[in-house]
Amino acid sequence: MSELAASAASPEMGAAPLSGGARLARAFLRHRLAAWAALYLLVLAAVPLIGPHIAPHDPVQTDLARTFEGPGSEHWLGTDHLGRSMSSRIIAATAVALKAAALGVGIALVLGAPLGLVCGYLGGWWDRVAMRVVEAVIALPALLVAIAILAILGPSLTNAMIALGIVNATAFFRLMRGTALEAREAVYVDAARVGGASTPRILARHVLPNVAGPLTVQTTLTFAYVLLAEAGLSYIGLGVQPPQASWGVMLATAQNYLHQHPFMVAPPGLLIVFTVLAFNLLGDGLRDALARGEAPAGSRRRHRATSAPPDAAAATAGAMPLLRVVDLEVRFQAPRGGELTVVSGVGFDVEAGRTVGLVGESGCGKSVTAMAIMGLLDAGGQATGSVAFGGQELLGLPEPALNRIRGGDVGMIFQEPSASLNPAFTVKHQIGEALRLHAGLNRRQAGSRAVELLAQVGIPDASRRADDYPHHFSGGMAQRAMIAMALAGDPKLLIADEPSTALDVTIQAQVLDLLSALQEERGMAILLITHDLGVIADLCDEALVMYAGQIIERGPAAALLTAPAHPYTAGLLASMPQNQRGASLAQIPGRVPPAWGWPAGCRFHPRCPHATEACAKEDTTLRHLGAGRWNRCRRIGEIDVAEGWR
Amino acid sequence: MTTDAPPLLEVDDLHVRFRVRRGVFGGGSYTVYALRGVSLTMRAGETLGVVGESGSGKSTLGRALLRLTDLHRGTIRLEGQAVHALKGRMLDFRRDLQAVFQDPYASLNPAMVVADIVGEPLTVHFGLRGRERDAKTAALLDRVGLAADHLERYPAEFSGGQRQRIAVARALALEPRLIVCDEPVSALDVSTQSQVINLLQALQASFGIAYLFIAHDLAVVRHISHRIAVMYLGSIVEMGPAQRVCDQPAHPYTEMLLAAAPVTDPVEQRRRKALRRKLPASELPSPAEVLPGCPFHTRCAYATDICKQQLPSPSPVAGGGWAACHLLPAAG
Repeated sequence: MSELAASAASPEMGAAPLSGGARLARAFLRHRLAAWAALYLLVLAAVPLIGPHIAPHDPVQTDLARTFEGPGSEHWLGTDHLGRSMSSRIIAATAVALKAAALGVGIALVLGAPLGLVCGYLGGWWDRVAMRVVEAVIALPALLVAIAILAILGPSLTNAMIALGIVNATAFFRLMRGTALEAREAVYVDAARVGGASTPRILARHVLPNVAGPLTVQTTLTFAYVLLAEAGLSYIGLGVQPPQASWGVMLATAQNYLHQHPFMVAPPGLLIVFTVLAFNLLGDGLRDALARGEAPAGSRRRHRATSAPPDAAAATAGAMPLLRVVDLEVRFQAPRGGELTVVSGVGFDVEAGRTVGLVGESGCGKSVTAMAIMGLLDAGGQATGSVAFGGQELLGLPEPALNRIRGGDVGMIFQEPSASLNPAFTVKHQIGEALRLHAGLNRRQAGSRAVELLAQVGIPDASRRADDYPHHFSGGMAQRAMIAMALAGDPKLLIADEPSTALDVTIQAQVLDLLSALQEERGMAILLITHDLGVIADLCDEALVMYAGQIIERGPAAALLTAPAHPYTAGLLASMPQNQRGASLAQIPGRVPPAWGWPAGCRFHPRCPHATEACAKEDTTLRHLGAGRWNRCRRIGEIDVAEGWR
Repeated sequence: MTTDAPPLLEVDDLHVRFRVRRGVFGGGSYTVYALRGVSLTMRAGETLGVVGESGSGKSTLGRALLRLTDLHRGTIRLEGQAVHALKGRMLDFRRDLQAVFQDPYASLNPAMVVADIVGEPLTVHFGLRGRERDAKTAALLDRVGLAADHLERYPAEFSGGQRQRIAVARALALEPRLIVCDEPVSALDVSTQSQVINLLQALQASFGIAYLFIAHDLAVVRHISHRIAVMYLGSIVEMGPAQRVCDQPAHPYTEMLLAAAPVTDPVEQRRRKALRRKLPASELPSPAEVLPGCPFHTRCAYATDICKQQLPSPSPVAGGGWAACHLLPAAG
């Protein structure tokens, strides 16, 4: 799946280079609402600066002859119970609110962020003391703490903001501490230390830039919170004191005359609602813009695959192998519109009891092929062609029917065993679940069968270990448990996607041995996906070599490894160290092209030492060479494939 | 193998321990004995490969030499200078000893451009800035096969192999005598792996840099190393010329590692698979325990009573090097 993520995320990079700022701005502007919110806040921010100059009246000047006037030409928003101009008062109140919020947020930022950064990075005693204090503050409702501080310092807006600043500093502290803790473990920080960078330098140059995004979002959201809190405190008489104007004060006044003059509530009320909303929208927009490479929010639903005509599949069912893949093509919705083909024209058979290896470098489409076979493509993925399992067409099969096959006749294991097991349940429970679902056992039978299976995959003391949770298992043991779970449905085919890649060589060898032993016992077929040609040599009867979404060579594993017929396979083998110290290894120039950059003609030709003009122009086909070997290279027979890599 | 000059690096009886904290009152805390008395020497321009499973302490050894982790006991001397006693930023020492880390996706700060990543050591050590620094940085990039117009780009714009070249350029910036390479190619694809290996060899040939090359892939280690040290549970159990260690392993653990490593030659792989079936399947014991006797005896197919009681001491092996195993024929 990582290949997929890479190929889906990278078109951004393939495009014309944008500076970081421009890219951020573009991502941000895609959020219409957030852009409007930013514009609104910009206008609002201008109020404290130009407000006093455009306000037509003194906001505290009373005129008892003109109370409760409606909106008019002199007083745009009318007057209040003392005849003061509502428009002037709202301008003054906005200025007060923003200044106050800036003060509150400023205090929170200055107090919390540096402290969090230093405590998180240095850790130790100071960090532990600071954390206890922060926890104590968080345990109390923020507004109550503010009120308590005000009770000591006396009601005033500045005091209120100092109180809120202190309370909100904890959020900044925790954010910065968390990031700094993470950074302390980051390899690039180790690298900087090896380079001789001092601690202040590491904090400023390595840690801060990575926290700038979350910090901006946190600041925006705190602004909204502090504005609301200021209005609330002033409303109950603990913040701004009348006759000074503030949204909270104005709201409190308006409330007294709610029945006679309902309009008075509108200006301060709406301003509070819109401003807080705008800050929140801005925060959301910034967060989304900063989350680089994340998929846009949308359907996570798996796409239904479309199938080949059912008659064709049924007609050939008689002599079908266990799994027959014909002309499989997988397309994904590209992030910037259009479709991206990531696998094309893939076809192969897996006979019962045989092991077929699908090998290739990352980005060649091998994992996507496995996922497409199982109907597990991510959102936006679509598979066409034909995948027939035991004569039944799987593409286009409804989800419930697929679910019966997955985990039943077809078992699957993945690269990261600990990520594929649910940490919340015991291993026995999870295997038992699969048994109840696919073998129709009751709870007790499932439990004892789960223990049997765990013993079968070589977990020592299985009856006791079965009640452990996955995190109690080492990587190798967790992979054994995953295999036990895949065996629950007594599968005819096991699809293993890089089953040993995350493990140590010694443990990898044990997992490979377990797979071949299980295969001997049960006669199940294995489709093994790997990047390691050595693993192919160890386990597989047949090998399929993939490059840029196509199978470029196919044949019996031993023959293919000893006498590769495609220049790419030969290059891969020649680039692996072969017991010759100091000799220069073969280098395949360039890199695997991404799915949006597949070259015309033979997809390997730009990296191939044997390429001719024809290779760059004409498409290739997988041709049968006899003796079970297939090849895509047009120049086969004309060239010595090994020669090009010396 | 004989030299008159003092060795480049001398490590003697190095111990590293980690205290793992559990629970508020430290009730479940325990100690991990990550390095248990490692001694080795390296000559200038030599590559010493270090292999072992995860948990063997091979990465800790690298981090200890780089002084990225606290030492419990033991000495490290780089060209006679007592590295273990250094404090603070250790700028002089850092100039001689640099590192290339495993994951080029994690070791390059995603928020910095290449010019800043590679140029930072130049600023820190020599105060180089601006155009002067950029010129030096461009020369470094050229040395690792990257173009100068990559200077203003972010790591995300490079492939894994290119990123590792950037990391190598950063390590070269201070013209070190020794580079600790911690799994430098294991995160790379096969075809890019060979590019980085060739690059490291070419740099060694031109500048005489020594490498401590830590990896789990025996084929790669054998290819690049002059000598190999095999680590198990924080100790070196076998050390010797690369070819001898790989072709005639003296320690049962080395034999097990070799049998487990898959190779592409189907005939050789069949032999290894058959050998594997004779060896018991087992996992690394917890590094928090110190068992009496040979650390490997719980997994060893040939263990006898003495292996459970006495720690074997190193004995020389025909063909060069030594191994710590009771079952070796007595020296002489």
